[in-house]
Amino acid sequence: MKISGISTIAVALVMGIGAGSVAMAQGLTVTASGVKTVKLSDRVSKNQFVWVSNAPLENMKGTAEGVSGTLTLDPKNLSTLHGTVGAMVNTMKSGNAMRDAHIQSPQWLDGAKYPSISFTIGSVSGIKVAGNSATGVATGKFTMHGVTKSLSVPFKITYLDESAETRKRAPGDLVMITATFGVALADYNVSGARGTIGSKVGEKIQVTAQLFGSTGL
Amino acid sequence: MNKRIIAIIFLLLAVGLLVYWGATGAHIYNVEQIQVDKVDPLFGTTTKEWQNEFHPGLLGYIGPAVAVFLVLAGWLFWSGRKPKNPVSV
Repeated sequence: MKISGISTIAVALVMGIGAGSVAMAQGLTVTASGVKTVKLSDRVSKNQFVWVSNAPLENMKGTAEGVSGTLTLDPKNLSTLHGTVGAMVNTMKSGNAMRDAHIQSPQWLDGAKYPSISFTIGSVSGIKVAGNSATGVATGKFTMHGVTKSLSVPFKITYLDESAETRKRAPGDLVMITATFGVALADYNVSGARGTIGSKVGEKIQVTAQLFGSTGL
Repeated sequence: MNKRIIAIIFLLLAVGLLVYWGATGAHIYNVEQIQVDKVDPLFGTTTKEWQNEFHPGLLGYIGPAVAVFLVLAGWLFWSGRKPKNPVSV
């Protein structure tokens, strides 16, 4: 009975320490605390999606700008990270004006009908903190070409407390998020010109997002 | 000038164009702008900027030009050839 009681206390202690370390592990080493609203802005740095299409006949590199969005997070508890990020289809560039027009045409992303591509963060998991940065996986709804699907995106977040250096860019604390993920065109009903996907355009487009925002805008 | 020499010049031009095409990225279509990296010193990240720089693509200019040079070279070789058994009249 006595041994059972001691072991129960030991298990409870271990579990308590474990839970405590998980909670601690989700907090960034910054002075800011409490829920912050981060507005993405090019004043902080250039918000951009960089995309790469690799296909047997052609490799393409491009960007999408016109990025906007608002995120909320508590830097001491990154599991609170939520928000929506979007980019305008008509800002997509590939280095060739004719191809850019094709990308926005009804056969491809149909920018007139579906002007934006967006990602809404639903939950965050697997957070690993290192100082003022952390990595994790954001799971949410990705919408492109009028189709919404669940998508898990590994990301890295860096939080900079407001300082004389950061104020040169924008007021408030600055936040940077980078993320890399793949988008299968078929999943979003993007069929393109017949026979193009898989030969000249990759079936899966690799996207790297670089997002910058401030709590003071 | 000897037709064979002109044909060889056209062949060299075709090869030179293909080498130039390969050296400028071997693009299938013309590229009007290229991406250049810009480092953000505050975050240490690299963003992409577009810079005007024309790289001809194989299906843009290089392919047709090479085809024209090859046709001209072939025609010059063919028209400048010496008959094997000249017919004496």
